[in-house]
Amino acid sequence: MLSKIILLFFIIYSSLLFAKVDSTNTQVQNVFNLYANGDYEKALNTLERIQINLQTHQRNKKDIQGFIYYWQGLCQIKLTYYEDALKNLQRAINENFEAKDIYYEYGQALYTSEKLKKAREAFKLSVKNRYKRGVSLYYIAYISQELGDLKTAVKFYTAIEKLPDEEKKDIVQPARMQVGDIYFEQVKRRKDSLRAIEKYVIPQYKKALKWDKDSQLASEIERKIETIQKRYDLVLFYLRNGRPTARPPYFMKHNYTYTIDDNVNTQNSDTLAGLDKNEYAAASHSYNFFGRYSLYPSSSYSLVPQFSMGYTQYDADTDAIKANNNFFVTATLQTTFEHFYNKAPATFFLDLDYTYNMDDADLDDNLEKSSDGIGITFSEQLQFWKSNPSIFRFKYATTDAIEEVNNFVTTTFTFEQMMLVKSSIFYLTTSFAQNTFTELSDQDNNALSLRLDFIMANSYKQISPNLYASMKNTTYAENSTEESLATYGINLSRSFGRNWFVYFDYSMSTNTSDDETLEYEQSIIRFSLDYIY
Amino acid sequence: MKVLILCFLFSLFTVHAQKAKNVAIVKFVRGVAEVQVPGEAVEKLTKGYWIKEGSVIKTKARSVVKLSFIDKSAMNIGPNSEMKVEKFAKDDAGVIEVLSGKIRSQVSKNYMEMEKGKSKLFVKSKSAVMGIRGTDFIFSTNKTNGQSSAILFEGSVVFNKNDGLRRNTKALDELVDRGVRIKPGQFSVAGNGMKKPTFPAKLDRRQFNALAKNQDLDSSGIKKQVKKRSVVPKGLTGDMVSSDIDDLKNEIKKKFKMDLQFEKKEINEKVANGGSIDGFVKPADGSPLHIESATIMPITTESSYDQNTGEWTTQDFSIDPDGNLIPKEGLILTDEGKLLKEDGSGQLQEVVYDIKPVFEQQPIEEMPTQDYVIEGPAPAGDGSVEPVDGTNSGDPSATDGVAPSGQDWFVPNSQVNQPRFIGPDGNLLPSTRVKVKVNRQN
Repeated sequence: MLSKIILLFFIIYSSLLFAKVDSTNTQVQNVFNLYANGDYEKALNTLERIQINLQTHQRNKKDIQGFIYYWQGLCQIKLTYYEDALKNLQRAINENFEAKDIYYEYGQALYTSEKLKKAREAFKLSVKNRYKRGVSLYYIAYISQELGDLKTAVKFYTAIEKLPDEEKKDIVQPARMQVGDIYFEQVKRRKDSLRAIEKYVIPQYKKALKWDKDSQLASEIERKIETIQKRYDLVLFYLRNGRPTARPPYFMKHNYTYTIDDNVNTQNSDTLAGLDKNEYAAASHSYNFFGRYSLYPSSSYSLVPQFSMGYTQYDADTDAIKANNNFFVTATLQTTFEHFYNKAPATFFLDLDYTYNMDDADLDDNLEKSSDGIGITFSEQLQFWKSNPSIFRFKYATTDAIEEVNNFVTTTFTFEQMMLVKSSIFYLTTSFAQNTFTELSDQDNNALSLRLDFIMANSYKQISPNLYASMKNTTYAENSTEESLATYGINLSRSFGRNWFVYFDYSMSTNTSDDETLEYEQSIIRFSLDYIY
Repeated sequence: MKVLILCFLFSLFTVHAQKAKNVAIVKFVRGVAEVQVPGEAVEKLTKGYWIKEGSVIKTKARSVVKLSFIDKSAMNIGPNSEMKVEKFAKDDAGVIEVLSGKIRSQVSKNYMEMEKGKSKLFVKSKSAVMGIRGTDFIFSTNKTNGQSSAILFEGSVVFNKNDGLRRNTKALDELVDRGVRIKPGQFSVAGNGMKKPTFPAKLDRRQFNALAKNQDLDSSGIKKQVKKRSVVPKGLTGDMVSSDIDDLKNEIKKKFKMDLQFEKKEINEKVANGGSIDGFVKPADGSPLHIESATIMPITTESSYDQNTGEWTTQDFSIDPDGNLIPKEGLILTDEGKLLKEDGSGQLQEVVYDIKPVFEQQPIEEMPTQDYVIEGPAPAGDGSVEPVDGTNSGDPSATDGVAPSGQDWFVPNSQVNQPRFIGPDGNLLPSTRVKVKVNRQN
């Protein structure tokens, strides 16, 4: 009988015990769900209820108690109630509760409560626990920096570099930047600060920048470098007339253009009627590159070597089209002289250029030299109206062709004017060109051109439409033949990020002439993609 | 004949009088509040007063009115507010117009038992309109800046910018349907200078919790500013210093010898951090809202980040027990939602910021400022309109939409191979933006 009673008692006791464990686990699961869903207030309330139950029932009260304090502290940190979190985490530590992250959380609570020295010690224990070592070291260094203990700060910032990649990858750049800040603070009041800044501060910031050039912090580091360079005149930012220098000094652009041309050789309609479409219309691919580097020997002068090259290939097997495949290289040395005119910044340009052209005129599927030429251009850029630059140009250029009959000299006068109206731009170009052939004097001609662009900047979803119209009137020496070319077009451009630019262009041209054989119509569609470095 | 006209006018009057029916009773009044029924004198509001359709209710500073509608819906009108009960019927959608200030409403569930997918009540202002398909919300509007906001506590609402046209309830339904759907815990803002309402974002958790408890729109007026140190040291960001839930999970496993049933939530950080979504501006999740001016406050990388929910919590503002924002020491938040700070000379400067993704937002201390002008027709400075061409402004932010340095991308295509206007500055083309010069400082 007694054994039955004992057995019954045992069964009841065990089920009660398991029920208790089960109920605790359910409660823990509930709190965890609340915590995971960000419902920290409710999680705190539930933890408080568990705590009350603990006081009356739980055997391993002390152990669980520490855990509850810790969890309450975590909830309070999430709610940014740092002072409450500090109390609870302190209690958890007093209960000898050990969690891997407890000193990290405790350190954060101390840090926000301005208890910096204690916070530093807590983060040291966090490093010891191998918890978030990169961030913990950063906290230690940053607190030391704030406390004026710069040597310790640099020591701990540098220690971050020794961590495995996974732990340091996001922390190295800010740590290097902070070291740069410390160096700068230390040297800026010294007599030889300029030398020290060049030797230590700028290289340290550049080292930070090198870690990740595309990060958000990178732009802050770049700003710091620029501010110091400006403050100590380390780099020329403005020319004598107030114009900013090119920053960065280099500029490079890759371009790809896909073109659909319905009259590649600009032939008249009678000629086209007798041809297959693939003999006069074709698509082409162009690959271009442009680069330049700006050098500033003084605040009045600049030297800008420029280089461009391009290759165009037509999607066609017909000879008439293939002959247009071409390649060119141009090298230019631009020099500028900065001055004032009408109390506004003005620039005088002197450009020397050399161009080398190749084509497939002999249809052997190989590009060969067709011509080369040199040119000299004098330009003056002025501002008659503020922010509306005007440019006058004079260019003299000679072209030496493989077939000597095509050698000619061009003299061009150009006037360009930009007009800003609200957020739109009118852009006017007018030029007079005189082309004189060395051998075929009957081909000599004068051309008068006028072009107007209307650019509506970022008018729709950052797309900039550009409407343009141009007229070109050419008079040939031979029989005073005249021809007139009218072109209308639209260009849509849009940037994608800082580097990519996309264009769509459609143009229609009509050429009329006294000589009917020279009359033609042409429409061109272009899709273009730029990548700018 | 005269008698006939008089009879006609009398009948019109009686018809009108019949239409102006009682729709809500005043449950309590704290402070001073007035009501005006169309065609009648202004009366002081007292407990037990019956509000008629078409009435305009006005509260003074620190005053609150609680109404109970005929369908048992409750509505609190906050301090310095003006509200018109345009239409309210048991069997049709009602229309409430908030002329200024804020209301908190708990719409009766009975009232919601109308046709599914249609709004049962419209709350509108000059700048926004909201279709109520849920129960508990705050709607506010500000006359000065022309902005309105909505915060939802329970149920569902649809919110859109008001186009200013007079509309019937069917047309209002169509308008709100083109707007955004706000979920509990989220808010949206619409108004002047905005093409669309903002994409719903989670409200600052502390503010949401405080507002959820403050059903009577109480405002103690106690605003103690404190010096706050952000948990994020300079150089790091909130997401770097936040701890992961897995650490806690491991501790529980160790301590209780139990496997938690838990699936880690996938957080779309792009959405949480704010930016642009389908053409809508999306504030960062956790953004605080200045309700009186319907102005969203910025979230910077110095804010702490919660990996569990993807929400940011700014340390630039704390929240009082009534849900009001208190800026940290050194900052002032005006009634119009402008954020001010003192420059070195003791002059107040207005902080200029846009709602941007967290990682693009500068710390408030480094945000650009402009002279704070309280009122007056002319802006500070010479007021001249000056095109910013990126060549002489020295302000990197002013080059928005301008060809980057040395870039000639909007030179006509025919001239692409002959780069023009590329002088030593590499960027002589005029900008695409014109701004008014107002003594901007960086």
